[in-house]
Amino acid sequence: MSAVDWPAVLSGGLGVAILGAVVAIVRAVMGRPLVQASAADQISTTALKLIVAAERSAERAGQEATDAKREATDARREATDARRAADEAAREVRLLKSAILAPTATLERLREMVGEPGANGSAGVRV
Amino acid sequence: MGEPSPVVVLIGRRPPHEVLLLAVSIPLGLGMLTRAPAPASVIALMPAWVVVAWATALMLSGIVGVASAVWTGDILRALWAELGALLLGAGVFATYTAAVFVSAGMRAWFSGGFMGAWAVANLIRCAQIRREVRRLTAGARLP
Repeated sequence: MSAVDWPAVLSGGLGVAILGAVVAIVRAVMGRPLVQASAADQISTTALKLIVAAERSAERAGQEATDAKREATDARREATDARRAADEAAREVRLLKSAILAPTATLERLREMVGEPGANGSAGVRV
Repeated sequence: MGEPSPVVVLIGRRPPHEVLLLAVSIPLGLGMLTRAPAPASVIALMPAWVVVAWATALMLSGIVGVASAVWTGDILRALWAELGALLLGAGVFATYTAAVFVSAGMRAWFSGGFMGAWAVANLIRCAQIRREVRRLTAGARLP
């Protein structure tokens, strides 16, 4: 071991380390930066699954909202039809009332107005 | 959509032991260049100009290492700078370790052991950084 030229060995070792460090520092200064645009690619598989599940859930919610809107439109239409039928029935009642209270009212005429009784006594009013 | 690239988890960039030891290298190296002499074992075994290079490398490893720790810009540049600083430091401490054991034999077990462990720790961290850089550049699209 006394034959070892320690100054040369130690200087050489230091030189190698300095050389490696210079290479690394030059790469730090002159190297290309990491591209940020690949951020989307760095999303973990779990996060991607969550995103896909959330998208599907949002799609389902949208579909349900559309169905609910359609049902509301149908219900509105049925309500309009029911109101029209109620108005028609009210008009018939008014006509019957006028006919009954008229001074020239006769039983035959009233029977004629009501017409042939149908099932459960229901019948249209003939004016 | 294709398979996403794997997420690269970096080992903590600012471990306190590393940052503080790099920071203390700055006044130690500067002190040896300006005021105080280098360790006797180093002076005894190496030519004067190598001792100056040794002290300069110690100071530079501290400056570059601390700069890489506080760098908030591109992560790749910071990692390369940290690797360079640690490699410089490893060379400095390995040189000191060899010099102190050659000069004082096993009497230098404490300081030599400490400095030797520091040099080895630096080299291990250099290997970790190299691995992280490889994974980062494999997963990213460079311009």
